[in-house]
Amino acid sequence: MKGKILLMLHAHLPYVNHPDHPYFLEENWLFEAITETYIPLLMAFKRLEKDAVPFGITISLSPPLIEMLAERTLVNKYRRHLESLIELAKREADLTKKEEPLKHEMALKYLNDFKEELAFFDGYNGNLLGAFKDAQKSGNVQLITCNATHGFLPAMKVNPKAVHAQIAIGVKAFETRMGDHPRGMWLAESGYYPELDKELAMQDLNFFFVDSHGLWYADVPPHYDVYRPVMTPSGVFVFARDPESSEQIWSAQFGYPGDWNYREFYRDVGFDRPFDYIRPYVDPSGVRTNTGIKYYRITGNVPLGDKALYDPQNGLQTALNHAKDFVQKKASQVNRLKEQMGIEPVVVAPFDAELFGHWWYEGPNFLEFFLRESAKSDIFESSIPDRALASLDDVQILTPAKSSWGANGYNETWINGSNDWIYPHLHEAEERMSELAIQYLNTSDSLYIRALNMCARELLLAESSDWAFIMTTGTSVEYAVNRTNTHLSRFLEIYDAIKSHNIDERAIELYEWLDPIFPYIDYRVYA
Amino acid sequence: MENEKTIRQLKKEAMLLKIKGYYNMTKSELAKVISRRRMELSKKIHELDTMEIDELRKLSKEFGLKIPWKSPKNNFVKKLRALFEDLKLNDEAEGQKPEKIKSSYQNVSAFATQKIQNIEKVVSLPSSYFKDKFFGLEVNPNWIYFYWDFSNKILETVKNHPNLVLRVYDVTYLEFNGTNAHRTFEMEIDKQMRKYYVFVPQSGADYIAEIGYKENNRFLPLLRSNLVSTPSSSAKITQMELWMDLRSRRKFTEMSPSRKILRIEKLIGFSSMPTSEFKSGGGAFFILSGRRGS
Repeated sequence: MKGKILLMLHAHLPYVNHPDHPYFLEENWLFEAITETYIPLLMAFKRLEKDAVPFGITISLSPPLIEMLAERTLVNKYRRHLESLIELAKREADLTKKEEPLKHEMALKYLNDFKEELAFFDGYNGNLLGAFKDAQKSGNVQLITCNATHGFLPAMKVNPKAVHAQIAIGVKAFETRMGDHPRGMWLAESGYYPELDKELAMQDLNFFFVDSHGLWYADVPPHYDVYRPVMTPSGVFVFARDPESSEQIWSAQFGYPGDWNYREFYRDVGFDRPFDYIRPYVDPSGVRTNTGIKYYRITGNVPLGDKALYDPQNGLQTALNHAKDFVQKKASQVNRLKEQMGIEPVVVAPFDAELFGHWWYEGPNFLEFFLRESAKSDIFESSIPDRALASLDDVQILTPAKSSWGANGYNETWINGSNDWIYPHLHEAEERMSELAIQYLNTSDSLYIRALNMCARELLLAESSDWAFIMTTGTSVEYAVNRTNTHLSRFLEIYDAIKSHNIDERAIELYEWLDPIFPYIDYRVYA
Repeated sequence: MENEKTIRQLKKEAMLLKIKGYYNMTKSELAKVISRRRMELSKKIHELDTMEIDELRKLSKEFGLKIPWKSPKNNFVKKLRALFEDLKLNDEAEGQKPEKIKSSYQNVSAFATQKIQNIEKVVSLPSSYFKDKFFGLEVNPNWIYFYWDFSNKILETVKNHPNLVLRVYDVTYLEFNGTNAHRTFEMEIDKQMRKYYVFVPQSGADYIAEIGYKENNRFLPLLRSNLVSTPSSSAKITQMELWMDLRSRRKFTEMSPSRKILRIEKLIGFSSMPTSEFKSGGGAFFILSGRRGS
């Protein structure tokens, strides 16, 4: 039997939706990810299927992402965003006629790509979840879910009900929006602690992922290191990250995306063009922002001003070379492991999906090339968890160790001096949420039910690991702090209103409109 | 779509909507102020009934409505409503905004305006919930983050003592009874503090902390924390392995092998001690990789 390579792309963005603003800077996170990552990936899967290439790839769609893709106001805003990008690309195509030929070629490529994306988007009537579902039909793509709002569970475990709600709502979101029970779950930030697997088993989840040291430091050492799935005592399968694959792709020094032929992320026409010209396509407040149209390549360790022009043919060729190199590396890794193990290895390579395309422009091409080249390999195949598990005859039972995929492998990214102030508030709100759920378990008053559900939404939104992460990294901190404060204070306000039997229907209605995530939520999950 | 209108059309619209300074604006600015103005007006329409006569007068003047100064309030309301509805009808005919936004705005109306304005001010959370609380969260194999909060009762007690004492007990594999810890660590802390990061020597160990004060050299605990287990940072020694045959669902045990796979662990090192743990960068947040996998 061939070895298996499991590519696992974690597609997640925090829930950013501001229906009270016609334009909101942070909504661009979603728009950029759709244009640069999700649609390019979906289009790549279509091409692979059209050419009858067998492949396997796993995508975890986080519930906030699912909810944003299902939110009509955001989807409409995205379409307008893409249209304006096409308008800009047209102007660029005109303008670059008089500039360097490589620039003009690239402008035409952007124009063409954006138009194709719009056609793809409209082909699904703006319903990208439908496109993901389609991709799954062939059996090549396996979609899984994530915990509800990507809350970092190791920091939540003092409130088991809150953890339970994160898992249960993560499953419910996927079932409701994707019409299917998810077989697996990506735990936010790969944050795992012993006992969490019981919660997953309760939700009928078949597998999840941990970081390498989750297995290395398990209660019993893993027989095959991280190269075969194991099972926890509660019967849930575990895949662990292969450190080699991540290193090969992302190493700052040797990784593929840093190749000098690849497109440079930081030189964007949003900053390079005269202000009057670019103004309609950047932040309406007049702040320059990235537009996504970029003409330069990484070039080398030179200042941004000295970057050379990007050659799309070269970029593509480099992606192909890297894909072939990666196939070769995987083949030799699989051969080496197979020899040591006496059985074919399962190599798990998880990545943030948005890094392909958004950050690494050629990333989706690289993936497509890799999947095509892998299909020709005699040594390994690209695969998905369902297939990998079906091929097992027996499995080692162990309890993985506490771990995450954050810097240094534990919780420091989400618990440190820049963000620790959120935990007293989150924990308090989590306790109060359970208190309310128990107290009003059997209420039939529809206003109370709406208020209680709204409390749950505000709590869940405040729990996103993204806010703590952003506070750590130091970019967009104000927004993250604001979101945490906003959701927690809305929670406290509604809590007080419920406790004092003084619920203002207009307030609930307003919050339902501002934070419409999980319309199907049932607060009783906290009881 | 706003984008498809010419700048002249937009200017005309801005003029009708009495937007100040519209003639100097760029196309995208116009689109933005127009959409904002329309939202404002669609909210205003619901506020008319509750407006003071002075406000109504001001509003009609703004829109150049010729209404006798002394005419009754409902006359102002009626004429303004008619005007707004006129403007809004245009709006609908041109399919300006997604339906959902409009209907929601109408429902939440004036109330929403005020609320949203409040939201946009900086909100602050309570500095204390005045409850007795003491939680520890493990940060990594050697550090624990503790935070606490006090009820008024404990605050009263604390008042009479200059400092507080934080104690951490190693209670690995123990049923802790307050005195049987393997090791006990202690430090004095300022009583204004509500959090502390502490270093603990053992990874993969269980800790409990107490916060209290000292009287005649005796430690008197006020609060006890949850049990905090630090993560393991090394492999366990080889022992029996447990397996399951997935066809028969039967479990079986096996002796652990001597290591089959040569794993070379990552060596971390720098030419001098690093000053910061975190890499910096720029751009959208999700390219900033604090995440190892990426």
